[in-house]
Amino acid sequence: MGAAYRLGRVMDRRWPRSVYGVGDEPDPRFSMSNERTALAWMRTAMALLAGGVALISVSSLATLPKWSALVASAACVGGGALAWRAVVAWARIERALRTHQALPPPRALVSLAGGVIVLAGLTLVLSLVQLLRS
Amino acid sequence: MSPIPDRAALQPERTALSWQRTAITATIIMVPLVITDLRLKVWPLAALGSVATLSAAALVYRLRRRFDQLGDDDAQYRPFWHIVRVAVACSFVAAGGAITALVELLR
Repeated sequence: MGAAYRLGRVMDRRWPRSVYGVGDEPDPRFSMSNERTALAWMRTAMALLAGGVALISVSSLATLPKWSALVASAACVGGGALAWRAVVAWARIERALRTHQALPPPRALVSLAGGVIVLAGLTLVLSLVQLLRS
Repeated sequence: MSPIPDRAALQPERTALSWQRTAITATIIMVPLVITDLRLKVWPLAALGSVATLSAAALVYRLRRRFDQLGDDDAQYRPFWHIVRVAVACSFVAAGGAITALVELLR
């Protein structure tokens, strides 16, 4: 690495200090992989948001049952929460890379799968109830 | 091979593309919500949504700084604030979506 890099290490003022204030500089490739993983999580969050937004848009055009707005709302809230989870996961992984610790498990994956299953189950049950009533 | 020296496996390009995909998605995701708010005549929410969409568009512009870092072998990696900005954009969409859904529910 060049002299500017070494000088930068001395004057490292990057934030958050909880990440950049510990350990040493990892291989840039690992850092960039971590960044791309965080962005992939962000896009997953946005897919959830897009689903919620699409459902709201359709429900305002058609006469969809009222509960569809609730499902859309849950998808939006879940997407927003997942986006922030991606930020936290990025920081945890970057810290692990810098301190040469084992990488933390992708716990958000379980929450996401659970949330999507619950949302799908809820939608299915409410649809069936609606179908049986009509 | 990457045109950027000492970087194997096209990592900067892949990261830059990943950022572009994310930023573009963050920008367009709010548009249907603004249209829905206009249809429902929820003017404050439509105005806030428009501001959020413009903020997300600014995110695309600001990314050029990150691309400069990716192309500089001596730069230190600091994507934190860029990631936080995307999370903030997502929060705006989530809040706007949830409130619009509530308006639709109470209509």
